[in-house]
Amino acid sequence: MDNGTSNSASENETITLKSCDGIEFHIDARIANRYTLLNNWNGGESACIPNVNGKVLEKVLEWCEHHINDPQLNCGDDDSRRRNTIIEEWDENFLSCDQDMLFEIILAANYLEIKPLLDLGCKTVANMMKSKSPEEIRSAFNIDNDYTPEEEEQFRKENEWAEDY
Amino acid sequence: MIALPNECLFKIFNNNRDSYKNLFSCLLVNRQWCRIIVPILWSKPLDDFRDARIINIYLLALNVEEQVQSIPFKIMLPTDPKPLFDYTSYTTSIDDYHLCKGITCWLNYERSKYEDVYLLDGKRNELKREDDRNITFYPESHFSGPEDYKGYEDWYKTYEHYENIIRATKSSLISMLLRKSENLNFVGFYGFYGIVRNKILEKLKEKMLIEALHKNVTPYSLDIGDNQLCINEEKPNRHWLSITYSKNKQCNGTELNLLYLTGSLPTSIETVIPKCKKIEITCESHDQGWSSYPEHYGACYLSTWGEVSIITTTHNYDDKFIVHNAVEKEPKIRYKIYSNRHADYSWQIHNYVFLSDHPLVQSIQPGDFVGLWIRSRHPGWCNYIKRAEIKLYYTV
Repeated sequence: MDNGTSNSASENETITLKSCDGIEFHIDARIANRYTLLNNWNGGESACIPNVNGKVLEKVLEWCEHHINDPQLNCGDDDSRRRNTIIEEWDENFLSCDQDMLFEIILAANYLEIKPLLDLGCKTVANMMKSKSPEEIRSAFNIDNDYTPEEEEQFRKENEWAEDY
Repeated sequence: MIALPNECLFKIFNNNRDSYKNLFSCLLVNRQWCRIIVPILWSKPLDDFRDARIINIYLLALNVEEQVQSIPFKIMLPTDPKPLFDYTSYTTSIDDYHLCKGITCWLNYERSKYEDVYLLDGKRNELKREDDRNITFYPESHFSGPEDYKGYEDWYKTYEHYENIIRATKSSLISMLLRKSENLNFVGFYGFYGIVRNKILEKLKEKMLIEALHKNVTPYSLDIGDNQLCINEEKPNRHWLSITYSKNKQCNGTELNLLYLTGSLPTSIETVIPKCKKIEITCESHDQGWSSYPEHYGACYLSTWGEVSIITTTHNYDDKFIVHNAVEKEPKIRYKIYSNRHADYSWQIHNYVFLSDHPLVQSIQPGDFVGLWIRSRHPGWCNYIKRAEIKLYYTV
């Protein structure tokens, strides 16, 4: 997990995280503090993350380490962040993993309340949906259509104004 | 696909909320997505309802009372089947200017159904060009201007008739949206007291508006013309409505008397007379900052102060007229509501509440104005004020 940004980590406290499948990670305590990652962390040297497996946790922690020096965002700027659809190159590469992993990361970020990573993941998925037809979206994300044909037709009709804008 | 919780899906779709086309595609993916997207899509459809099909869906939601308004104008309301969702309940914002634009589009669209000239080929495209003109060209008047009427003289005998159709449709829609919408947080009526061509209609609209506000969960802010109106029902007494007049303009004068702000009860509720229950006044003011009486420094020695009185007038809403008229005939009964600290130049906030047993509250009638005056004891003594708010609570 050496990406050149984890500066002087040795000076800092480290804690041990354990994924649900028992894999241990040694992380900079600043990460844990910053994202209130660990609701059940009692301030000791180790903690367990029950709902996230080792593979996913590794990715999440990789992201956290890379962004450890980012300025803290205010909570109130939801709107401005949404409108900013540009994704940094590093983040883009980071999330160009397979789809299952991307969704796992979103789930983990939601569970661990890592808001910037959650936003990033959602933005990435949102971009994947752009300029696709319903059928293309279904096949891209492997979703079944549970509408009856009549229902689908009526929804199409009632909302068709949106198609033109 | 790994199942994501709804909150995550909402976040994903919310990223694309400005792309209606994209939301439309996602909505048709499956039922779960549809339930999440409909509230986003319909919270502010196109920001300004400028598509005939939106208005069409809205019109389907009118109840009998609201439909009745369109009878005199022979408006053909749509007869499509009941929508699968109650789309109108998700509206978060309405303003009459944009509703008018939407209604104009709808009328054009309806006409096009009957008029072959309009549908030579590429039906949609022809219509869209019409729509596009409406989007980019905003006439000054808050109704769709005579521009929109041009070419349809045969359809509507007079421009006035055309305007009335728009007005009637608009008031029905406003009443319906006020009744239905559960998340309304903005209502704007610009030029509410504008040129009143048809007084009866205007009154009808206002009456329905007030009644709808009275019956429902209400928006917290209502823009009417230049006045910011805050309408909310008091929690302890659900039947109180309120109306707020505010002014943010620094003003200072050495006159002995200056009428700074006025406010009144709504006047055009036809069947009921609003009854005033409480009047709250807030303002920020200060004294001239020096005096030749050092012994009074900081004390509330009466050098500058504020007073409230009722101004009776049978005339219109013109502010200048009120000021002029009121100063000419100074009201006899005045109530002092604050005094500035003597020779203190720093801003002071004053609050004063007249409760329901106060003669001021008891004697005010619809059509009367509550006026806030700033006064000085001596000629040449300067009095400063920078903002004030008059809030009238009333029942109907």
